[in-house]
Amino acid sequence: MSAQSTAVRGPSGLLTPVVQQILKLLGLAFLDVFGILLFYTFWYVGQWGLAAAIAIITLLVNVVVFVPRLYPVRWLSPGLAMMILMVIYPIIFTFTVAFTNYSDGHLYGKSESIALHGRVTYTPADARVYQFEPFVAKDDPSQLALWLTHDRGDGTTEVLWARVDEPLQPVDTDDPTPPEEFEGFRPMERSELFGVIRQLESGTFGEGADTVSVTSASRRTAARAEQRYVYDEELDGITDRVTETFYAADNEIGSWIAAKGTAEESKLEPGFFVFVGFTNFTRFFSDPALRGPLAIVFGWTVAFAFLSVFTTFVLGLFMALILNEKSIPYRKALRSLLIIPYAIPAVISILAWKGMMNPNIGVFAKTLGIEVPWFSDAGWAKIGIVLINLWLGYPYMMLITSGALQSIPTDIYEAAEVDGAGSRQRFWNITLPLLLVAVGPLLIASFTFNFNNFVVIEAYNKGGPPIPGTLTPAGYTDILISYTYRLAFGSGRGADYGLASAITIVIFFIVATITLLNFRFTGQWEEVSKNV
Amino acid sequence: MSDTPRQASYDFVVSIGNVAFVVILLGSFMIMPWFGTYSGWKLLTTETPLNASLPLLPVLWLVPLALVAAGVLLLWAMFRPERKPQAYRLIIAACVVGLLYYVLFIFTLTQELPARATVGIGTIVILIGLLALIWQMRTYRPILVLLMALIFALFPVLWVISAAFNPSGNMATQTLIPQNVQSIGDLFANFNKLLSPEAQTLYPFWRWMFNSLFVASITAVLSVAISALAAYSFSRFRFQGRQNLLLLVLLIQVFPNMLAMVALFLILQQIGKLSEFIPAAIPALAGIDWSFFRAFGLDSLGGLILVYLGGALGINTWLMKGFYDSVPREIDESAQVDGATHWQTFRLLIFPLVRPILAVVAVLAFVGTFNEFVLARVLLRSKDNYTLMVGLYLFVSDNFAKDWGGFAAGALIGAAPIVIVYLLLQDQIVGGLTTGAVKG
Repeated sequence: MSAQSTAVRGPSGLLTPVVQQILKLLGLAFLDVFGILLFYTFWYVGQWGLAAAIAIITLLVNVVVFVPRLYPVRWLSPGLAMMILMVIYPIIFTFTVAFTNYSDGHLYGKSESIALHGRVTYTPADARVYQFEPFVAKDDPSQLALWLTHDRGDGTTEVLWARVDEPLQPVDTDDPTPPEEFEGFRPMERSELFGVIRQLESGTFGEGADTVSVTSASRRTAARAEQRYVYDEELDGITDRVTETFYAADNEIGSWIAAKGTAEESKLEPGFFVFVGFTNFTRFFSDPALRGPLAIVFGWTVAFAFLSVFTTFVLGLFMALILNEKSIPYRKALRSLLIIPYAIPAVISILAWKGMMNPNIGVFAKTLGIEVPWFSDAGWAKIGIVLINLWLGYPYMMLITSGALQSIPTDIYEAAEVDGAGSRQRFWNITLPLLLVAVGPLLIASFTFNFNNFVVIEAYNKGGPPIPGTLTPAGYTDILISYTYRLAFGSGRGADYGLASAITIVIFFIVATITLLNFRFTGQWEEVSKNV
Repeated sequence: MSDTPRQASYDFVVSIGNVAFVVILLGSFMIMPWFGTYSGWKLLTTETPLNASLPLLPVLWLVPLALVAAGVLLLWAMFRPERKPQAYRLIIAACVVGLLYYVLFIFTLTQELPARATVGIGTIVILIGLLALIWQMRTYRPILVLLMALIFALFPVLWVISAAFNPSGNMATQTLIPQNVQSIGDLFANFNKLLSPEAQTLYPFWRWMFNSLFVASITAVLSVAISALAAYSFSRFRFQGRQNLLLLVLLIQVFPNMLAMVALFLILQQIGKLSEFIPAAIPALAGIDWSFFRAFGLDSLGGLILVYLGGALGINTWLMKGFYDSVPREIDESAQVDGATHWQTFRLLIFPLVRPILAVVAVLAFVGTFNEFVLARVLLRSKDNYTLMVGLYLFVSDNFAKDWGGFAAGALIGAAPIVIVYLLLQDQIVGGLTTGAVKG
């Protein structure tokens, strides 16, 4: 990515072209090695999307460096690389996830899910029993190990060395008595043992499915554990060897199911993620637990965005009109004071308002003498949000409308005055129409901004008060984006990334459509093309 | 209209009456319990020295004085030949409002009416009075509306500043003018408490501030660098697909990367896990310490910066291209005739010319990143890694009413630099606004 900065370092030929060329190639080589490393690693762990993104970025950089015709693109490559990784890939990812059931309980691919279950062990009744001697690392008292001995019954003894998260290691010796020192570990004193009994009994020693767990610390016995869940490729299912249950893979919903059509406990968790087609989208309409809250949330999103634009525009325009009066003294200073709400970080402002609105001890309650349920009542919460957003947003409208007001030619007003139009008529028939033409695109952009104005919703009341009786976490003041957030990262009800992504896509299409229409009708498109 | 001297003097006196009315109204605000001069009012009326904290008593005398002034003016205006009905309607209104308020307060003090009810009624009286006032005075309408606008705009700011300097630190007992201030040090009690080393373990405020500054400055510098290079290309080269690329860059930003928060969360998670993945994938490289990838994973400032940089190529590039276009091409063409490479042209000719503008864009990028909340909230998970906005948000949700003063102090420290930058750069910001960047 830094190809061009390594290419030419000196301002006036400090480096000869040959050296420059070598430096460039070295930088590129370093980048390529790094890219290939990441690509292979992501490929190896099954993150094909990320692997592809890395591959595309690496290829792009190489092509751009080696094709002279693409020299201009070289200047863009750092930005393009970041854009591909952090904007384009996430968009594609979101689109993909929306068609899967990626959610809590379905976070792994099928093979990963099988591998995960394969690591679970149990101790069968007829397991091989060992006597053990506890060891402790000399330099780290939290590291425990076991010296295991098992009398095979033919006069020989099997000796094993077991550590946490490392494979069991057979010790080739005829003498089963524990040594004074082994691989940096020493036998534990009797007095030390008491403190670690719990750690010994709860932990397993060894790695993967091949482990040993302590059955009794006082009798110093341990048993060889065995793999509990075994996957059968032909039957496409997992057998639980403790309960002898067979969990068949349901590749439609990505779950391991014992007997189809029965209760929840017959599932083996976690399942795996599968492509579910348009299920997430059809759930908007078909799932009654989702349909109700989603309709409320969608309605409020539109209402909130509209009310925000409308109220801020009216107040902003009003203030701009007043500030536009030449007779007002200190106009510049007044404008500075009036844009202060816009300058303060929004989160801080919202929290401050939240404090002032405290229904019991906030300053509003003290002034009005009544307790307004700003946070517990849906209607008041909505009023509160619009009020705060008005405070946050009117300076922006004031600034853009005062700019537009100054660009309206004064001779129109003079002509109107000659024709006998009053000030009100002049406002409604000249100022407002001309103003709306000028700031219309910005109003629409503001609508799309408020459509996704997550900060206000989240910082004010976390979308609350909650809508009762819903399966998904939703509140009366939630807008689509905050609802998405709650679905993905929200309360303890489990994350549903698939559904969250589906809603994101709906938001995306709404916003994109509005923006494209905005571009099209206002000729911004042509402006961009013309300027190019 | 003041064509005669007599008329002019009449108008002058009426305007003094108007001022008296304004004083009455503002004065009534000042005797609100939360204003902090309530105890002073008691002192004024009952002559019992109560807890008069700051010497603001003279302000209180303005209300009754204004009342008297308004009354005198009323009498005077009634007997003038050039009297206008609107003038004394106004002054009567002033006297009525003032008297009402006075009576209400006497009642509160002697009859022990519930203070809350009095205050509520008082507020309604004030609001009605203000509306009546604006209706009456055509010429003063804009100024009075501006006054209301200023109260609306600045009251929350004043309230937070006052909370920060209020030694009680408690929302319930906060007054606009701090009470029980014995020394200057008392004013900074909240700051001392918030910034003390003991408090840092629970709420590492310094750490949050540092994180915010760190993320914002690195993002600002890098994103301006990325944009500056890209804008040079768009401005100075003519290559195939240039138009489409520029449109793509603009269009892609229609999709706010906040919308992809789920995806970004999962991507950063994978990047962070590279430190475990690489040794697993390529055992030969297990000897190298790959843990630096964690500095770009989930819950890391590096990861957050990466995400912010994804949006570097956007509206800023478009703005900068405009600046570059305003630099005549003849300058760099003549340099290139002399054998300068494009890199040299950019570095030695264009860059010095556009540097001031780049600085402004960088400052704005800094402010935008400093204020960003959503992605930081999603991507940062542990207390020590929070940025200031996330930290304050969590601080507040933990114990709002109890440590309101602490929040206010933190908010003041966090917001003051940003506000100053905004006010200094307001002309540039206004210029940038109409070009596209949208907030609010």
